[in-house]
Parts: sequence; C-alpha cells; structure tokens
Amino acid sequence: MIRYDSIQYEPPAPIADIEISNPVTHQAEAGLAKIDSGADISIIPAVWVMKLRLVPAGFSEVASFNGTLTEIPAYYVNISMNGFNFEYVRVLSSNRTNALIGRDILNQLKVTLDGKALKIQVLDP
Amino acid sequence: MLDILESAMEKVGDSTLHFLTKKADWVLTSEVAKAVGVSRVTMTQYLRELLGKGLVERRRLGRASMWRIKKTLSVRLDEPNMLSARADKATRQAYAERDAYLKVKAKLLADPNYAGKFVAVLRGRIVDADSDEKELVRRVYGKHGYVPIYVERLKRERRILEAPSPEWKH
Repeated sequence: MIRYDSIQYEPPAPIADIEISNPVTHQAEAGLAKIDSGADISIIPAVWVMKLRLVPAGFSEVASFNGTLTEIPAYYVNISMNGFNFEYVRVLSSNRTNALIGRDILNQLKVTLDGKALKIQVLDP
Repeated sequence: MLDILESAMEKVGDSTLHFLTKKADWVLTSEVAKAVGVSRVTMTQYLRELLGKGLVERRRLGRASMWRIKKTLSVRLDEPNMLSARADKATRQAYAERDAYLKVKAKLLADPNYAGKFVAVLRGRIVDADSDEKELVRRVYGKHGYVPIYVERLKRERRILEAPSPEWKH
C-alpha cells in the first residue's frame, strides 16, 4: 500500500510497503520505504543486507544532501511494491530504518502525488 | 545453536568495530569490553580475532594491550554495513574485483565490443558483458553462483549519484 504518513513525517511524506528479496535465495524482508523522487537510486537499510545475506556487486559514489561524497557497496535485489515487481535492481545500503525508493524505480511507473489531499496514485501505464 | 553463537559473535564484533571506529585512537581492552558490555577476557578473544582478520591494530603497553581500528579501514568501516566481519570479507573481494577492472578499463574502453556495455568481473577477469544489466547479473549468478562480483557500465566519466534524503535519528 502506498500512502502519506503524517505521523512520522512533518510535513507528511509518501511511503510504501515494500518487500525486498535476495534474487538468488529469494529470502525476503518486508518494510517501509519513502518515495523519494530526489534520489537517483533506491536505498535499503543496512540491516536488511545482513538479514538477506546479500553480497556486494560493485560500488557507487553518492552525494548526500550536504554534498558529502561516500562510496557505498551496491547489491542486486528484487523489489515488490504495490503489486509491481522489479527484478535485479541495483540498490545501495545505508544506516536507515526504512528504505528509499528512488527514480530508478519511480521512472518505470506513473506516480501522481496529490499532496493537498494526501493521496498517491501509482500506475504502470 | 551454531547460528545463535555465530550471530552473537557477529554482534559483538560489529559493536567492537563500531566503537573503535568512533574512537579512532588507541583504547585499552578493558575500555572496549566495558563499552560493548562483555568481559575483558571475552573481549580479548574477539579483538585477537579481529587482529587476525586485519581489521584492528594492537600495541603493547606493559602487560596491557591497546587497540585501534586499522587506519586504512577506518573510512570504509564508518559505513555501518561494513561492520560485520563477514560483510567485510565479501566487500574486500568486491574491491579486489574492482581493482582488476580498473587495470583493464583503458583497454576495454578502446575495444568497440564493450562500448557502453555493463561488464562483470569475477576472480580478476571479465567474465561477461551485456548492454542489459539485469540479464548480465542474472547470467553471472546463474553460471558462477551467488558470489561477490564487480559490475559497472563501461564509460570514461565518473558517475556520482545523488541521494539527498537523510534519516534523522533523535
């Protein structure tokens, strides 16, 4: 389910229930993700990397909000969100409690953010 | 039972590395033990293991030992997902694959067969290439198993990604 969360976020932020799985063992982890059209790439919590026993498949340099550059290992995972499935998606990990769904995923869908009504519509046209 | 022990050891190892990374200076065994919440004897054992894995350095101070995170690792260990010894082993392997890639990158750039393609490196050599990243990774894992690899799209320019949304913890 994709919705606005006005409890944890002020102002309210669009979030989604997602499932991330290891593309080979299919071990899965469910959790929340923030819809982040400002992120070039999707990010998963570091603890999920451990739980799913993901192995690195590269590195990416990432600039954070203040311009700090960090090199982070990259992993390939399968992502399920709101009935949409994406296989072998390259993601990064970070010390977060939720995931970020970036434009690598969002640009494959039609996402309408109605901030005024706090509603989101996600379609695969 | 072994899984539980392994998991507990990983947690202590992670906490120890995290503490030493934050300290970034020489620390007595007893101080690390207190911070992590285990006995000095147990901590000595963990620190010796980390020393054997090349993750920490030891200095003698009379009968006592002092420890610090290995300087060359401190930047990478700042990233929490680096803090497991098991993750670190896999990451080191991926770094080694990248080193191998960088050695041949100029040659690949000059080869029209690889132009704009994703390449996969394993055991120090290019094992596959494809313009479809997903198909490439699927094929490499299918053929070589789920092991650390290095995958990158071959291009001259350095690519910096933006992920500006932090998560504030109060």
